[in-house]
Amino acid sequence: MRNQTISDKELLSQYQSGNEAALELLINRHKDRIYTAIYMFVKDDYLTEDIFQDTFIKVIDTLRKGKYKEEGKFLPWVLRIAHNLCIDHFRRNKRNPKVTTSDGFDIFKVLKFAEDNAEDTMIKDQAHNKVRMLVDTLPEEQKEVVILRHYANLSFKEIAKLTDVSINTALGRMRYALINMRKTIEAKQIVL
Amino acid sequence: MTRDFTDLDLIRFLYHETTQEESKRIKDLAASDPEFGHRLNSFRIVVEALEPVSKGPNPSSIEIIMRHSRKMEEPLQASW
Repeated sequence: MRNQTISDKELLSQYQSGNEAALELLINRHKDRIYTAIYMFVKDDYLTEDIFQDTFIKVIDTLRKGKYKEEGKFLPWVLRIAHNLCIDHFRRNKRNPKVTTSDGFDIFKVLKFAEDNAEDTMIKDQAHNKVRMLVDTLPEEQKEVVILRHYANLSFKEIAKLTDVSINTALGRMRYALINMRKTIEAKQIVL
Repeated sequence: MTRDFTDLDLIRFLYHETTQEESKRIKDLAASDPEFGHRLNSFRIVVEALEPVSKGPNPSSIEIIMRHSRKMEEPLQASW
């Protein structure tokens, strides 16, 4: 199949016409951005896998029932579902996001970095932890924009639509987020 | 001169959302005006610091999703 030349809309249409491979292509095209965005919200590998699966199960159910009425693009739609599932999770648990400790055994991490050596894995983990800590220090609205822009790669226009604010508000939140993270880097003398 | 561009413009530039013309003007200004260059860099440093995290799902998650898709019995309905 012409992977990169087929638009998301066309792949969706093919899937709705019975082509299962079209869905797999769509998932593979966007999986890392969606997964990383969920991970940055919930900060737990197991939970991220669960929410990632639940997101696409919801996507499939919506498509199968012919309820997909989105005018916008596929990725913002999926990210909105993922984002809502993250919020649902926090509401259900009525607690702050859990932070996975680096010394906890994580089978997904072991599988994912199976081809890396121990030193590479450690360096990656350290870099991840520092960035995660930086993003964690932000107020929710700022964190949301950083994750959606930087890790999910949505445009500010798409973020504005998804979060129901103006583009300038989304940009303004990003500005405060960058200023706040810079202050944290300076105050804690973080080397990235 | 640096008032030509707001902080929001600089953030759009760093995320490649400015027009070609705006991008050129920002680059030129950053090269010729140290104060403006410093302002741009103060944002750029943080944007670049955010780079490292990129993760992906376990292949088994994709398999679970595809299995769910295959087992769905409802007929497919196009909505457009």
